[in-house]
Amino acid sequence: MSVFVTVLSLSSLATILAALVSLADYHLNDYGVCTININGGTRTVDVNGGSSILSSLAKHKIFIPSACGGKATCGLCKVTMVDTISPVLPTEEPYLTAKEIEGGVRLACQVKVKRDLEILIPGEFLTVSQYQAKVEKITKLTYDIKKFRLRLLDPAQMEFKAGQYVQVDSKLYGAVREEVSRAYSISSAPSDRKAIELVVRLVPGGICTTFLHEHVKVGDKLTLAGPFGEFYLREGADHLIFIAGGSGLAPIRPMILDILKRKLDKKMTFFFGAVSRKDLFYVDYFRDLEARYPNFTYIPALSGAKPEDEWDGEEGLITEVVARNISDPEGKQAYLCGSPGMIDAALGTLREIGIGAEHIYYDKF
Amino acid sequence: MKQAPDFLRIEENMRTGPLAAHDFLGSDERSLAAIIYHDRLLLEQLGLTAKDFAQRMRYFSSKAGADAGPQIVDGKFAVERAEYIGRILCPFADNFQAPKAVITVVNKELGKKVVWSDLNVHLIEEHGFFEGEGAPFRIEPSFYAEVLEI
Repeated sequence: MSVFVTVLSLSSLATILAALVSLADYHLNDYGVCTININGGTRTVDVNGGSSILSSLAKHKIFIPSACGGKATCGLCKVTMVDTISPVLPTEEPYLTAKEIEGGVRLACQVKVKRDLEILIPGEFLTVSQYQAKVEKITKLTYDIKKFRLRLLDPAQMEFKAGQYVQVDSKLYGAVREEVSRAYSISSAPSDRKAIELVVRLVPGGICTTFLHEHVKVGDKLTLAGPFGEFYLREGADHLIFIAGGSGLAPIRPMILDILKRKLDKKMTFFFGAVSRKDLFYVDYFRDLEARYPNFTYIPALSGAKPEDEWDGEEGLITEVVARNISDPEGKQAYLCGSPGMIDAALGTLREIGIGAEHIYYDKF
Repeated sequence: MKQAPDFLRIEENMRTGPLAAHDFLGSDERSLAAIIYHDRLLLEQLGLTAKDFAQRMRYFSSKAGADAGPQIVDGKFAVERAEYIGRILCPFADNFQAPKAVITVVNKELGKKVVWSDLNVHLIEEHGFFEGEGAPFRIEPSFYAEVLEI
């Protein structure tokens, strides 16, 4: 008990000090209006000091990618500071390499604007827009995955590359008192510019996936920003290997459709991993594509097939299935999307096959 | 039980909204400090420590591949790990982030099942927090000790 009381006392003291510092910062430091100079003056914005770079820029419709909504759990919102402003925070360290830190890279969600700043960001971030969209259709794909078709209202069209994602804003619901923004890959083909589709897996306790799955109805309006991401098709390979699990199928589907529509002379093999038949979706869809296009092969696999599944396809972890079917690394690129565990396992398998890291692409949220 | 101001702030993080769509404290009317204290007493009665718990949970987690379906461990435990895209922050604001993963263990001899998230292991090991009564990921020490044979 005495240890417990000691810990509580020390914690209290630390908290009181932290609270005092925070209060002093809030009340005594009026940062006034600060100017953020972007990309050497390509764009400058005046913001009220005190907020993060991420949120300050978002108020000016400049959207830096952030899958976690500014909680420093995704590491996507990297910007380069032209001047050194403050030491890197512990919250940023897991996402920054030594080289990035040395080069002034910071997480925009963790750096507060306290004076005029100069930053560098990829030019395409300046073309990202905010969209209003209407939920046109909701389709249940599995027991925990739904597809949302969103009709774009304002702007009414979006140009994106197959594989990119948008950030969807949740709204308040139930006891949730905070709006969040989360990233979801676009699962529809880029040729359809007036509507986009998202494939969303319900995460137990997930704020935005619970919002989408349990509170959004057909006809509802949503706010989203995009397109984001560097997970898109590259030139230079004649055999593309796609590996996905669960809702990781989302960005792969438009990539395959894009290649088929453009009639590119590329062979494609799509490995899709699931535990049992109840986790599979789009099977008939991809089998139909396979029947119509000789350059496309679809290999779904179950890692925990049950007798009632009556499964006669590939079995085992999707990485084991890849290893059984792919041996020659020559001329191949790989595109991965799924849980962090699946991505790590797939990277190991592809490395063993001999496919170089420079030919492997993935978004690891 | 009185509790420190930082615990009040942490309680705020634990409520529905900031980090998750559920309340880490569940329907428990006790304070965070009281929940931790009473679970510590429960552990003492069981002759266990929070580290023992976390170690056993981690043992099972390590035996299950992500989305690999149920794996039989030690001949009688069916262990399954469902992994999702994304990470969740620790509500104790210690900068720890856990993958969004849910582990299910069925003790086939007892016919009993327990479920936890990756974050639970950290909450128990580092903060002695088993979540409040009625929380979706509440780890009931005596029940989990029985099922996991700790």
